[in-house]
Amino acid sequence: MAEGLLEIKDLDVGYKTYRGVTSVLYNLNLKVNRNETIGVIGESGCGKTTTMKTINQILPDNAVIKSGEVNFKGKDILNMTEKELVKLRRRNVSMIPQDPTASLNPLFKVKTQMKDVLKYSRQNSEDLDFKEETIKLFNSVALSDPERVYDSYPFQLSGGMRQRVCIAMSLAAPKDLLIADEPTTNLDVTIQDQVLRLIGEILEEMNFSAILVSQALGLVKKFVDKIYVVYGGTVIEIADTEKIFENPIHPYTKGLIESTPKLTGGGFSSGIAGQTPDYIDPPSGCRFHPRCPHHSEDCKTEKPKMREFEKNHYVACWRQ
Amino acid sequence: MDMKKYIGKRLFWAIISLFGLSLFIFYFGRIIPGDPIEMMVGPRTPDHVIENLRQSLALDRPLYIQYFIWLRNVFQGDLGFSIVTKRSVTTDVKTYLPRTLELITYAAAFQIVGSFLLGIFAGSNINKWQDHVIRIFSYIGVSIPAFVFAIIFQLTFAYQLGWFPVTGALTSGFAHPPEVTGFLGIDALLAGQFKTFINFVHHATLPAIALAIPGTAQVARMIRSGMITIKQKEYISMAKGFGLPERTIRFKYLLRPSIIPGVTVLGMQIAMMLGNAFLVEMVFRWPGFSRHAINAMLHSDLNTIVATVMIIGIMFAIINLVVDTIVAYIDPRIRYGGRS
Repeated sequence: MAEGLLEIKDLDVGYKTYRGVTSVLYNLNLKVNRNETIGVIGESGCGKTTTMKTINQILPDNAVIKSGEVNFKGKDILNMTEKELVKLRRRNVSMIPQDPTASLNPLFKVKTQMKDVLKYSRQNSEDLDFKEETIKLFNSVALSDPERVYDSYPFQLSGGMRQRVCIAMSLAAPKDLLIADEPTTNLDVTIQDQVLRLIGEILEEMNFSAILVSQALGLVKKFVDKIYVVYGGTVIEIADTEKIFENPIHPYTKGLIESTPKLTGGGFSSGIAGQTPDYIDPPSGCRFHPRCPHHSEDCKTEKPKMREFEKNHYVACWRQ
Repeated sequence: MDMKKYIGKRLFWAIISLFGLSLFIFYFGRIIPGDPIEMMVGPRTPDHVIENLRQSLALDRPLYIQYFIWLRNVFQGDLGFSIVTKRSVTTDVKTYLPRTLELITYAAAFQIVGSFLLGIFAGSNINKWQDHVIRIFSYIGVSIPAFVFAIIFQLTFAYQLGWFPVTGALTSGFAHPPEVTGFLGIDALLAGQFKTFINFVHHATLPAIALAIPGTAQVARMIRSGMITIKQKEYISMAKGFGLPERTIRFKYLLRPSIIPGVTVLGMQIAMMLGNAFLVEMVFRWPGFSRHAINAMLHSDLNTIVATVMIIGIMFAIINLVVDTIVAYIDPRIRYGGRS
């Protein structure tokens, strides 16, 4: 059994809204071993970002963690003091954001923001030449014209450059776990590929454990060892990367794979009918049952348990 | 730096709008009902006297001629003759305006310090008791006009408790310092009369606080809500995610974008005090310009009205320029003209 770095157990998280407290994450279980890269896949609104933000505790103020455990190196993050959390963020967990434009402060130059990140995440940072270190980091993320970027405001950079700056920030200090939360969703298609390749190279070079979050299975296929498919705030299928493409079991996973547009033509894919659930009043039983073409009475009443389908392939579905 | 170019551009437009304002106010001053000559003279004045007066004040000439005559005179420091005080408007302005400007400056100081302290304090303690107390203060401050505070303060702190003088700008025993700048406080300091300065500030304190309260309350609210809005931005949670300390996030990355709307409104509030000062000046018998200007308006004293509006306009233009410069300093997107 590989050594666990991060283990999320039965996590329930919701948000306070005017209509009541939502139930977004629902019995979510997830595990990352040392030096393992996992992919977390699902439509938007499935709780992927909520899960990631729970890991380093940067959820919005209206979030409510109802129950569960988030064990990092055997310690439950949910019971950590503020001081321990700050240490965790500085030394252990790094995050590449979803939207680089929204993630950089528009009123401060890149150098100011980089300096603060370096200052607090590096040990013995008093003697550090911040400019030199920043340029070094910029070179490692293949930013062209690092000197200009260093002295620019974020709005003077292109989307791809901003994301590279964010990646540079997340690499500012060596850490155990890198979380990339849909790092390419907000970028142009051509830039998407470059940024993904960069992240792939980083993962290969450095001994990170990583969570790669994406809406599309195909996008992360090359980089991850294992895939977690998430629907309605809970994991519905876990498998080694090849297995999930060869033999997807859950109807939702099948739908996701089929909805990838194919360059070879053949018209639009069928996709999955319906929408992600309403979290104020989520469907009973299996949260996917209203959209599932194969659902039975059992699906409406009871949440399916995760069961082993074959070696390293688990699925939560009543269907055999 | 693009800053100089930016300020130059702002200055140019400030002058253009002041010019427009002068045209506008001059024209409206002339078409409002009520004949200024008839207001000046008694009911039994012979017609030829009225005509002579009309000619001597150039009121019989076409409007645009009257405007150019007026404009030429303004640039020579001559704002015309006041039919209420029977002396030059320039003299009136020199007498009354400095008192009001001093009062406003003092009030603005209260407003800036007060609104920032309260706003940041409330914004840092959202929905805790500190926030609720400040919220109640803000509701009271915004909904009650300044002159009511003036009356309450005068009755409580001046009349009942005797901590402050009831009316006026100087106790009668104090001689006015020799006039250098026309500003009583500055002149007193220049002459080394510190006791006079203290006495003046003592007199100005209650009216200044009363005048400052409504704006303080409003700007404090804006800074608070600015902080709430910015707190939800992704870049704040990312800064947290990178392990930056709480105080660096709050006072650097959160505060700077949060205060922008507050700073803009603060400028407006300060400029508007010139008009709002009127009733406060009445309550405290403060020898200021607002009181004088309202009196002029009630008597259709055209030259004084035009001068008053122009002074308010210039105030707004200057303060807007200052505010725009500060905002451009805070927000580089404005400086570089690239809002994204």
